[in-house]
Parts: sequence; structure tokens; C-alpha cells
Amino acid sequence: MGCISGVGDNLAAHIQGLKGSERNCRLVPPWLFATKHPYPVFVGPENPLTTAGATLLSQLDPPSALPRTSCLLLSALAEALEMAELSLDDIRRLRVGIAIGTTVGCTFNDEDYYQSFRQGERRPIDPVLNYLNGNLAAQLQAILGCKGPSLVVTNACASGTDAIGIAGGWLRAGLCDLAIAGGADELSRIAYNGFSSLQLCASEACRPFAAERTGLNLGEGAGVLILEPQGRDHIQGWLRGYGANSDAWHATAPHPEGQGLVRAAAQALSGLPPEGRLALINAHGTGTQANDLAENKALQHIIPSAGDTAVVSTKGWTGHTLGAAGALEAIFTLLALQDGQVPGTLGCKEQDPAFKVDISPQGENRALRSRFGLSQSLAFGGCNSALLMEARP
Amino acid sequence: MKPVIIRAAVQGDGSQLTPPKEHGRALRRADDLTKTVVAWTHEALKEAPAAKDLDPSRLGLFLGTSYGPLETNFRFLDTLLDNGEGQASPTLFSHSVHNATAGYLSRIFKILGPAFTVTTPTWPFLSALREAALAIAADTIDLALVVGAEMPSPVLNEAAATLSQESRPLESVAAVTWVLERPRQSSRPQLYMEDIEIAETPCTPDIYLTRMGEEFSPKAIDAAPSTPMACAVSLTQTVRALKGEKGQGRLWQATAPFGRAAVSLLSK
Repeated sequence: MGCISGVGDNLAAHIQGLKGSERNCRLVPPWLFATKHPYPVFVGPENPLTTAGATLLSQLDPPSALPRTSCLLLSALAEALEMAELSLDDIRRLRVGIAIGTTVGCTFNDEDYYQSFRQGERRPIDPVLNYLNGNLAAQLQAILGCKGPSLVVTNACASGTDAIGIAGGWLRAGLCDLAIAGGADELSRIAYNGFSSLQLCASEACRPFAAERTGLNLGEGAGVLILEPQGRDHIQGWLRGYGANSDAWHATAPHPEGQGLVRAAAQALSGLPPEGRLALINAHGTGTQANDLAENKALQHIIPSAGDTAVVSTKGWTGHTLGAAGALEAIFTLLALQDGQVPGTLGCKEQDPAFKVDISPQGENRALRSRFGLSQSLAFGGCNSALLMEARP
Repeated sequence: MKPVIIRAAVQGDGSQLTPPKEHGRALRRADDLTKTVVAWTHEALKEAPAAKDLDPSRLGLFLGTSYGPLETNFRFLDTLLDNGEGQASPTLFSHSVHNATAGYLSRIFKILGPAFTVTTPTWPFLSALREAALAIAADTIDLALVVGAEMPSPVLNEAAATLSQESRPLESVAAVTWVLERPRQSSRPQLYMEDIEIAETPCTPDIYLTRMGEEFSPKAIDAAPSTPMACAVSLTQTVRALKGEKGQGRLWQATAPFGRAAVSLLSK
């Protein structure tokens, strides 16, 4: 596993950061982009490429500078490969599937070029070529020099979760020997203004599931998991189930009862062994009115025996990292299950009284009763998906 | 891969077909990409009438696109550049998200199973086909709508023309929709997708844009624009030529500087 976000640029920083209450939530720094909006964000490191990530990038022939999203992804990937003790030689010998989720990473973001184009100026087309060269999965194939199935999942905020689920399906079908799966997204002025236009952004640090929640904070980052059909010594855990279902309800709002999420979670939970108990749900928990209410209603059906399962949101530490969120949160789920405890929801001191299912509040440190946890995502377009993870003993 | 039945395979563009009036209200804010895809998906479902009797949670949607709603993204950007922060259009933003079209399809055709939008610079429709076939084989769903679609973009077209005089740009939204089903007994001839293989090779972006060196076998009946849709159109034409011919098989192949792909088809 490897990750990078506003919390830090490696797993150790996240393990430490998620135990505290410090938040790297601030107004958009000028070096990222200019804005007059008052909505704070969770920004990753100014240089998103770690030393190990830069070493990976040096494999690219011919050398090329990559967008911020790609750099975030490479940093997370480099850490994941190191933890999995996989060398580039190993990767090049095997059939390697690559499934990466993103939202910003698949759009044309060069505002200057577009502005010139629409004014009739004709400039060198390098920004168009950079956009065409920006498919994250194809980029990783080029950098790693590997062969196998590859695609980018663009299911909005569920992209990272779906990428992991799809990669798991490839392994089960025998399409590859191992898979690189995850998600990455950078903060962009376009998406920032899009979420602002939808009036979904909070002008303070987000408070997922809280009574006084006022919206989400955007964030950026990347999370990568290395999946293999057979575990080796360094195994971190298992992907035990995956489900994806549609609401068929609204373009941007979840079904008010969370119906699609209930079905997706049920699919994922079918991977729970008969004696298994669900200890943790890492909820999508963005801090918007509609998401948190619908998700809590869905939770009534996902965990009928309330109290046995801790429910948290980790977006109080990272913000909503869009296409990276599902991957980061799957990693956080595994980390908590490995640790046997989970910190309460940062920003949620008192939960919404309308909720029927209790959320672990800020400051609580909840002991987990098993090694099974669910990480779930909701997205624009009515997408819902969930991953059932089991931590190593 | 386990074989799947190809119940329907249609292809066309936005100039040939408009969405049925019954979907007019649902599509009132939709962009041309979505409208065209809805129109051709409606057409495909006419060839698969049993789909409406299936459990909606057993229906899946797999949409492959290289560029998605690129021009809709520019329309949103227009509102941001012209009107300034705080005045950008929320409607255009929600439609500029890559899976906006899949969201419309799931709502209009009541698809409650998985709805994936996948993106590759090579052959996104083939990737969507593979994921659909895998989902049927894994018993996640019984029926899949598989869509390939691209919208014309002046930004891309002009860049392609800069690189190659032979580039044939898209003039209107191009769409392909297939309906795949789990194999079942039938006295009538059925067309099967027996296998699909995709081997992609990283390539320079000019090749992704101009599609120089991309070839299909059998050759396409109609010359398709030099975009990622050419593959989807060629394969769909091969499937339609094979339909109703019991005992016939075809190996459709694509080769390009960015890889090779093959789809085995059998009518039995």
C-alpha cells in the first residue's frame, strides 16, 4: 500500500496523522491556483513527487514532466511497490493489471490553452498532447514497462473504490498475475469552481455526519494497493468482497434512502465468512447534508445490529479527494483493522439527531471486534460501491 | 473468458437518430453526447425486448470513452472564464463529469446494477466489452449494456489536422451500443462473443490522436472517422454482418502502434 494526501506523503505519516486532530485545511495557496472563494481545501505537498516517485518517473523514456495528479500517483505507487518488495524486474516479468480511478486526471485542464483557442489564437498543440498523454493507467504502463489489462475508471467519487474492485475481478478471472489498483486526483481550479457552483463546499473545516455540517472540503492525493491472488510474507490483508450498484435517481444527489449503497454493500458483504463479523465501516461521509443523511439511512440496512460496528468518516483529515478517495479510504480501513482500533470522525462532535445509526465521534478511539471492515463510496451519476477488507492477523 | 450472447449491436451518430420523445423531459438539460447515446441505446434495446423483464439490479452498464464529455467541460469552462468565479454553471459542471452519460442511461433505462465509465486512449469500447463479459461470467449481472461514445471536439480536431492531413475528424457524436446476455438455450441462431483479448502498448500522444497505422480485419464496411470510435464501428459492422448466419465464425482483429486486439465471434 502507498498513499499521499494533505496528511503526508507516506503511510507512516497517515498512521500518525489519523491518530491526531491536526488538520491541514486551509485556503487555496496561490502556488496552486488563484481564487477568491473562501472554501478551504486539503492540499498535498507542494512538490507531490517523493524521492521514490521521482526514481520511478526516471524510467520514462523519453523523459517528460507529468501533471500533478500523475506525480501524486507515482509517489503512492513507489511506496506500495517498496512495501510489496516488488522490483521493476519483477513487474516486467509478470502480467500486471493497472486500474486507476480519477476525475480531474481525465479532463483537459489547461485553461490558458483553451482561452487562446477560443479567441482564435493558434499556439503549439503541446497542451493537447499532454492531455492525450495523461491517461494514468497508460502512463504507468509506460513507466513500469509492464503488460496486462489497464484502464482508468472515471466513476466520479467512487472511481478509486471501483478501480480496486475491477482489479480484483481481473485477478479472479486470471487476466493478470498481480494488479496495481487505486486512485489519484489533484486539486484543480475547474473542479473547485464546479463544486462551489453546486454549493457543496464548506467555508470551514468539514464536519462529516455532524448536526451542524455545512458541506465538504476538496482535497487531493493518491492511494495505491498491490493486489495478488496468492499472498506472500508481506501480506497486509485481503479484498474479500466488492459491490457496485446504481441509484438511477439523480445526476448529483444520492438516493434519499441510499438504496444503491445498500445493494452495493450487501454484494460486498457476501464475501464475509459465516463466522465473520463486521467491525468497521469507513463511510463516504463527505459532510454534505444530502450525502450524510442518505448514507446514514442506508447504514440502518447495512448494519442492522447497531453498536457492534464502528462507523467513521476519515474526510475530516483528508478532505474529499474525489477519484483518490476510495483508494485512500480502503487503505485507512486496512490500517485501522490492523491496529485493532479506529479513531472517531474528526469534525463530528455531535452527530445529526436525525441519524438512526451512531457515528463514532471525534475524540473516541473505538476498539474493533474483528479484522473485517467495509469501505464505501457514493458518487455523482448515482454510483455506489463498497469494498470488504480483511486485515492480516 | 466465458462466452456471452450478443443480443444487439447498433452504431450510428447524432445526425441519424434523435432520442424518443418519451425521454424528452429527462434529457432536457443533457448534452449531445448523452442524447445520442440514449437514442442509440433505445435502438439497441428494441433488439433485446426481454431486457425490460429482468431484475433491474441484474442489469449493468459499461461505457467506454477516450475523451468523454470534453466539449461539455469546455462549455463549463466558458461560464467560468466569461462570468467569473461564483457564476460558473452548476448544471454544466454536473454534465462535464465523465460518468454523467452513464448516470443518464441508468436513470432512463432503470439500470440498478453496476454502471462503469472506463477510459483508455486506445480502444475504450473493447475495455468496456471485456468488463461487461467479466461481470456476466462472475454472475454479478445477467445483462449488460455496453456503450462506446465520443463527441466531436474542435480542440482535438484542429490538433489532429495539425499533425496529419489524412485525419478524418468526428462531425457529430458517434455512438455504439451492444446488449450482452448470459448464454442460454434457444432454438434460434445466437451470436456469441467467445473471447476478447486486448494487448496495449504505450504510445506517443500524436498516434493516439491521429490513429495513424490503426487497421482492422475484416476491414470496415464504411470508413470511420480516425478516432477511438473507429474500432467500435468496425467491430459492430462485423457483428451485424454475421448475425443470422448459423455456424459461422469470425476473428475480428485490430492492430495499431498502440497494441493489438482480437474478438472471437461465433454464430450457432
